Amino acid sequence: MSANIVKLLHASDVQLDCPLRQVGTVPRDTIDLLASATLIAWERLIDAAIAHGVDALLLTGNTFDAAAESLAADVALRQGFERLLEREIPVFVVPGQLDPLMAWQEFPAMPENVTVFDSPWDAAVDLTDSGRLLARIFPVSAVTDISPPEWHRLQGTVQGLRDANAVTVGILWCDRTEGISRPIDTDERRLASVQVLACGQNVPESALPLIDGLVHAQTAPQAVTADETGPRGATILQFDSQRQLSKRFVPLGPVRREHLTARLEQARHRDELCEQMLAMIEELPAVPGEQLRLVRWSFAGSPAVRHQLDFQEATAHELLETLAGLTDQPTGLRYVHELVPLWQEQSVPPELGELWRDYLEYYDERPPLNEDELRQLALELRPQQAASSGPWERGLAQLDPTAVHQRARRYARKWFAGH
Amino acid sequence: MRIDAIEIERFGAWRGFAQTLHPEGLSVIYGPNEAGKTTLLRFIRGVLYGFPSGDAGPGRRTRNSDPMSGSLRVRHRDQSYHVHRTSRGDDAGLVSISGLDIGESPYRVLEGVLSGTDEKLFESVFAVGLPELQEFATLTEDEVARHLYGMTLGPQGQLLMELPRRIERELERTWPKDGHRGLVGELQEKQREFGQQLQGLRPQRERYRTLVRQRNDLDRRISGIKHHVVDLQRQLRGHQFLAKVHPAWTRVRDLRRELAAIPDLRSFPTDGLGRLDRLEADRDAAMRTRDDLHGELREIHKQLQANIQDDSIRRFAGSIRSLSEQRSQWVEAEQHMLELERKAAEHDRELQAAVTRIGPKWTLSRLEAMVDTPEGHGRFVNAATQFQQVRWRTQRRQRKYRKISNLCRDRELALRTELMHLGVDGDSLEQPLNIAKQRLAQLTELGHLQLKAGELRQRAQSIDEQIERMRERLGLPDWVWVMLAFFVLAGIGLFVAGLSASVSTGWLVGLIYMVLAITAGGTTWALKVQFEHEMQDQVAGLREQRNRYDSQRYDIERRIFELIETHGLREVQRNPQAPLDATDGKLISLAADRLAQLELAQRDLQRILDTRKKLSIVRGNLQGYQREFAAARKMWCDTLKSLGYDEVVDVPVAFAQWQAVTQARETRRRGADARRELRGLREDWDRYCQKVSDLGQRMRLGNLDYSKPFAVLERWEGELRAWIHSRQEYRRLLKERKARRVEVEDFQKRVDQLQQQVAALLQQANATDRADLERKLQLFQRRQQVVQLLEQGQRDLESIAKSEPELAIVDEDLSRFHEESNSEAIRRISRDSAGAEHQLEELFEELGTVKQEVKALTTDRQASRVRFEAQQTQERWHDAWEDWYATAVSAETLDTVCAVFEQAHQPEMLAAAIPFLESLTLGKYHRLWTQLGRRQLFVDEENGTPRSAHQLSGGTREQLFLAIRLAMVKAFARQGVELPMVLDDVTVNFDQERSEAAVKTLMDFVQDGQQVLVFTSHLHFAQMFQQHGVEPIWLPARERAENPTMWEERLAG
Repeated sequence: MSANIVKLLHASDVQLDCPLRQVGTVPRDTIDLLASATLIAWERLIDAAIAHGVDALLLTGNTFDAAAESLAADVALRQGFERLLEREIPVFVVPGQLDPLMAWQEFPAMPENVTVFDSPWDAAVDLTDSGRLLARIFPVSAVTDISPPEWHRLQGTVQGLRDANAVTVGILWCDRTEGISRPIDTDERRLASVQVLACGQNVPESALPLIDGLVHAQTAPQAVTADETGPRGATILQFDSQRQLSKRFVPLGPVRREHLTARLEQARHRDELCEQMLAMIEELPAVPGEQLRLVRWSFAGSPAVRHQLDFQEATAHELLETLAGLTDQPTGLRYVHELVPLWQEQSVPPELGELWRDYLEYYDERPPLNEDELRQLALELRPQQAASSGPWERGLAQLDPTAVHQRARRYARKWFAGH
Repeated sequence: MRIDAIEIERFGAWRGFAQTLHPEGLSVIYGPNEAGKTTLLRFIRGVLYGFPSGDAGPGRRTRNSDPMSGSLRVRHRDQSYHVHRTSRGDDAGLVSISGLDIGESPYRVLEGVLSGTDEKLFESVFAVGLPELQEFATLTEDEVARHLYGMTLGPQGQLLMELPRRIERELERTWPKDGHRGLVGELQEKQREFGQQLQGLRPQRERYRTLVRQRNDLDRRISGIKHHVVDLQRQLRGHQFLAKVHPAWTRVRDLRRELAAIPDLRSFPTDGLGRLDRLEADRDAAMRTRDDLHGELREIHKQLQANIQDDSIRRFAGSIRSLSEQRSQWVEAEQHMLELERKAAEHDRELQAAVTRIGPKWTLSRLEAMVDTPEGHGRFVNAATQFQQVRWRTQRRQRKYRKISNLCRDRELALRTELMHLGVDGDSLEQPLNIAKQRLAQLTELGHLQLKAGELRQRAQSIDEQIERMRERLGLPDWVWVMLAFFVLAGIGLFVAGLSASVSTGWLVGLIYMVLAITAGGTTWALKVQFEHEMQDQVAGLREQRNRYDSQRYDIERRIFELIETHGLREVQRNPQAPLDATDGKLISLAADRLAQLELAQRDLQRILDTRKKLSIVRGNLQGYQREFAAARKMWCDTLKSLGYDEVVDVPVAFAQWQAVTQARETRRRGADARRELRGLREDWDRYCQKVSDLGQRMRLGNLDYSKPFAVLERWEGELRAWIHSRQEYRRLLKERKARRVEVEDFQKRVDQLQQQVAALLQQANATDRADLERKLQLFQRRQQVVQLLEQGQRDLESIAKSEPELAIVDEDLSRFHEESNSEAIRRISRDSAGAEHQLEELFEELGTVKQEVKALTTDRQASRVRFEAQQTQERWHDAWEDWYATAVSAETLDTVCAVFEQAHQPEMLAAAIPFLESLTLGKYHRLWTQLGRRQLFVDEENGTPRSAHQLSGGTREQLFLAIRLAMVKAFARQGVELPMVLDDVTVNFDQERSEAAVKTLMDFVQDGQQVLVFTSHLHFAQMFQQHGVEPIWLPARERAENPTMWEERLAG
C-alpha cells in the first residue's frame, strides 16, 4: 500500500451460489461451470483484492440469497473473508434485498475483519493504516445525513490534519426490511457529504441521498440474468494523494452473456449469414477469465429477405449448430448459442397489419386481468382440472398478472408475424 | 365440361349401356333401388379420374379381372371428346380420347377438360351422394372447408381460421384438458424431484453453521486455556529465575566488597616489567649490530678497488644485440626457404598432371593463354544456362509430342476395335449413323403402326361384339309380340266374324269386321317393320364403322409389311423367322443402343481428328524449337571457343573441363607465389650477412670468418655478456657500501632512543627502580582480577535476566530467597501446567474433528448443480404457466377480433348459398353464417334466432348443405372450373313441398348452362321434374332371378 493512495475494491450483487437465470438448454458438460459461476466470481474477487493489495473490500448488497439457504454460499463467504483476514484486508458490508440484515445476523460469528452495518445510522468506521486514517466508511441512505468536513472543522471535531486528508466513502443501505421501507420523496432526501457513494447498479434514484461527490453504481461480478450482457466484474476505486478518484474495472465473471442481432439483409445466403455471425462473435472483446459465453441470437430482417433466404426456425437452429461447431472449444472457451424465437423480431406482413392493429387496439382497451380473473379463466378453459386445487394454483400464485398481460400483448406479433 | 352421353361397355352391373343426356343441362335419371344409379355415378367419376381399385372387392377380384371399360362423350369449350377408359379391374385404367392429334397426350387433354381438378374435389363438391352431404355437417371435411373459406376470406380469414386451432394446440400442449400431464405436469414432476433433493441438502447448511459455531467456541476455549498456561509458565519461570539468579547475585555482592579494599592504580602500565625487559634487550642488540656493520664497510671497499675493467665493446652493444635478435628469425627463414623450394617443385609437378588431365591437346602455354577473368566465367555460365534451358525446353516439347502421338494412336486403336465390334468398316461413320437413325425411325414408326393396328383390331372386335349384342336385342319386346298376336288374333277373329256376319247379318257388317282385322294386322306389321328398321340402321352404321376400321387397319398392315420387307427390318432381331413385334420397345431399344454407340464412336472419331490437328500444330512448333536449339548450340560452341575451351555440346562435360582448367590455373598460381616468396627471402639473407661484416670492420676485428655470421655474432655476444657482468658487480658494491653507512647511523639513533624509553617507563610507574615496579604490579593485577570477576558476575546476572526478559531482578526478593520453598512452588506450578496442556490437547482433537467435518461439507458442490437445474426447471415451469395464461388471455382478444372480422367478412360462399337456401327452404332461412375457425354453420330463423346446423332437422340440414354445394359449384364455374354436378339421391329426406322447391331450385340453377345430373330412386321426385318438362331417363329395374350373377355384382355398387 502506497503512502498516499487509497484503494477500495467495490463489488455488488455477488449473489453467491445463485443459479444463472434464463439460460435455456445447455450442454451437460457446461452445467457445473454455470452452477458455480457466482462462486468462481467470488473467489476471483477475493484473489483480486489480495493481488491488488486493496485497503478494503466494499460489498453493497445482495451478496447472497438468504432464501436459497445455500451451504456453498455460506462456505464461500466465510472462506473468502478468512483469506482476506490473513492479509488484513477489512470488509465492509451492507445488507441488500436478497441478504437482509437478519440473514447476516444468523451467521455464526464472522471473522473480525468483517464489518456488517446494522443500520443506515451506524457510526462511520475508520479505515487506518499504521495509525494513519485512510478513509471513513459511512452507511448511507436517502434519509441519513453526513455533514461536510468543513462543518466538523468548525465544530472542532476533526482531529487536525490526521483526519483532514481522509477519504469519505458512503455505502448505500439497501435493505428494505430495515430502516426505510417506503419510497422517499425528493424533498425528504438528505445530504450525505461523501466523496464517493458505492451502491449496486439497480438502485433507484429515489433511494439515493443528495451527495456532493460521485456515485459509483456497481454491476454484479457475474451476470445472472440474460439482460446483463457484456463483461462483468468489480471496480477498484483508487484515490490518489490529491484525493482524485480513478476507477479500474476488474473482470471476474467466468460466464459472459451476450445478445447479438444478425442482419439478414447483409447476407445473400446462409453461409454469408454464418460468416457474419462468426465475425460478430470474433469482434466481441476478449476479457481475461472468461470460460463460457452464452449468446442469444436474434435475426432482424424484412419478410422479403426471410423469404429469399428461406429463413425458418429450423434454418436458424441449423445455423446456430454450425456456429457452435465453429466456436465452441471443449478444452478452451466454451460457447452456447441460443435462439430468440423468430417471431419476436419479425415484422407483421402488410396484409395482416390491420388484424394486428385491431388486436392491439382491443387488447389495450381491456384492463389487465387480476389473479382472481386469471383463476376464473383457468376454470373456464380447464373446468375439470381447475375444479380441484392443485399445482395449477401454485403456478397461478407465482405469476405476475402484469407480466401475463404484457406477454399476451407481445403475442400479437407471435400470432400475426410468426404466421 | 358437359357430358353428352354415357357409354358403358362393362362396369359393375352395367354391360353395353349407352345413354344420351339431355342437352338442356338438367338430366334426371330415375331408377328404383339397386337399379345402378350409384354405379353410374361411380362410372362417371371413374372415367374422368380413374377407376378406383376398391370397386373390385377382395372376394370378386377374380371375376372382375375382365376389363372395365366405357366412355363418356363430353363437350368442353365447344369441342367434343370421346373419353374412353379401359381397366383390367385392379388399376385406374388407360385413357384414350378419340380425335386427338398424333402425339397429343390424352391425359393432358383430360386434365384440361377437368380444369385441373382432382378426384377428391370432384367427389366432395361436384359428385355427391347423401353420405358426402351429411359429412359436411361439421365442416370437418377439409377439402370443402378449405374451399369454402379459402376462396373467399383471403389471408386474413385463413389466419383467423387457423389461429384458434393453433392456440388450442398450444394450450393443450402446456396444460391438456384430458388429464394428461402436459408440459406443466412434466415440469412439476421434475420440480418435485429437485425440491426433494434440495430439501435433503438443506440440513447441511445448518450443520455447517453449527460446526462453525463449535469451531469458534473451541477456538475461544483453546485461547483461554492457552492464556492460563501462559500465566502458569510465567509463574514457573519466575521461580526458576529466582533459583537461577540467586548464586550469581551472591557472588557479585562479595566481589564488590573486595574491590572496595584495593587501591585504584589507574595509570599503572600493566605490562611495565615486560616492557622494561624488552627495552633493555633491544638496546644491547642494537649496539652489537652497529659494530658488525663497521666491519662490513671495510670489506666492501677492498672489493671495489679490485673490480675496475676496459669498456670499449660498450659502443657496439646495440648493433650486436640487434643482429643477434634477428638470428632466430633467420634460422626459421632458412627452414622456410627450403620448404618453399619443395613446394615450388611440387606445384610444377601438379600443374603438369592437371594440364594432362584437361585434355590431350592442352599445354602450359594454352593454359596461360586462357581467358581467366570473372567476366569470362560469367559468359561461360550464362551460355551454359541458356543452352541448357533451350535444350530442356526442346526435350520437353518432344516428350509432349510423343505423348500426344501415343494418345492419338491408342484412341484410334480403341475406336477401330469398337467399330469392328459394331460391324462398321471404313473410316466414315456418317453412313452407318444415317442407317441407324433411319432404322430407329422405321422401328418407331413400325411400333406406332402396330399399336394403331392393334387398336383398330380391338375397336373392330368391340363393334362386332356390339353388333352381336344388338342382334340379340333385335327381336321385339315380348309385350309387343303379345300385343301383335292379340291384334292378329283379333283381326282373324274379326275377319271370321265379318264373314260370318256378312253371311248372317249383312255384308256391310262383315266388311267392317274385315277392315278392322286388316287394320290390326297392318298395325302389327308396321310396328314390327319400324322397330326392326331402327335396329338395322344402327347395325348398318356399326358395320360401316367396322369396315372403316378394317380399311384403316388394312392400310396400316400394308404399310407395316412394306416397312418390314422394303427396309429389311427383320434383320434387326436375332431370329429373322419370328414375327416382328416393335410394340414392346425391345427392338427400338436395340436400335437406339446401336445409334447411341455409333454416336459415341462418332464423338471419339471427332476427338481423334482434333488430336491429330493438335499433333500437327505441335509438330510444326517442334521444328521451330529444333531451330532454336541449333542456334543455341552454335552460340554455346562459339562461347567455348572464344574462352579457349574445347567445343563440346555436353554442358556437364564443358563444366568438368572448366573446373579442371580452373584447378590447373590455381596450381600454377600457387607455384608462382612460392617462387616469388623464396626469391625475396634470399635477398634479405644476403643483406643480413653484409651487416655483420660491416660491424666487424667498424670494430676493427679483421681476423674473423664473416661467411658464418652466426658464429661471429656468438663470439661478440660472449664478450658483451662478460663486460656487462663486471659492470653490474661494481655497481652493486657501490650501492651496498652506501647502504651499510646508512644502517650504522640508524643503529646509533636506535640505541639512544631505547635508553630514553627505559627512563620514561619507570617514571610512568612511579617507581624508582625495577624492584619497586614489580611490587606495584602485583597490587594492580589483583584489582584487575576482581574487576573482571565482578564483570563476569554482572554478565551472568544479565544473561540470566535476558533469558527471562519479562522478569526483573529485585534485590529485596533475592535477599528473602529460600531455596526449599521455591522448589516446592516450582513443582506445584508444573503440575498445573501439565493439566492445562492435556486439556488443550483434548480440545485440539475436538477442533480437528470439527474442522474435518467442516471440510467434508465444504468440498461438496453437488447442491449448486441441483440448484441450477432446479432453477432452470422452475423458470420453464413459470414460463409455461405464464405462456398458458398469456395465450389464454390472448385467445380472448383474438376471439373479439374474430367476431368483429366474421361480422364483416363472412365467407362469400355462404352469402352465395343464401338464395339457394331460401329457395330450398321456401324462404324460412335467410341468413347463413359461421364462426371463424370453429367450422360450425349457423342459420338465423325468421325471428333472427341463430341455430347451428346440428340443431336443424335432417332434411333442412341437407337442404342447407345442398345450397352450399350449389353455391360452391357456381363459384368454381366463375373461376373457370366447369364440371357437371351429379346428385345421387340427396333429396330422400325432403318433404313434398321442399322436394318441389328443390326441383324448382335445380331448374333455376341450370339456367345459365350448368349441367346437373340428378339420380333418384323416388318416382314422385322424377315425376315432379317430368311435370316441369324435364323428361327423366328411366332406368330399367332388373330382376334378381333374371341374372343372378349380375345381381351379385351390382350389390357391390
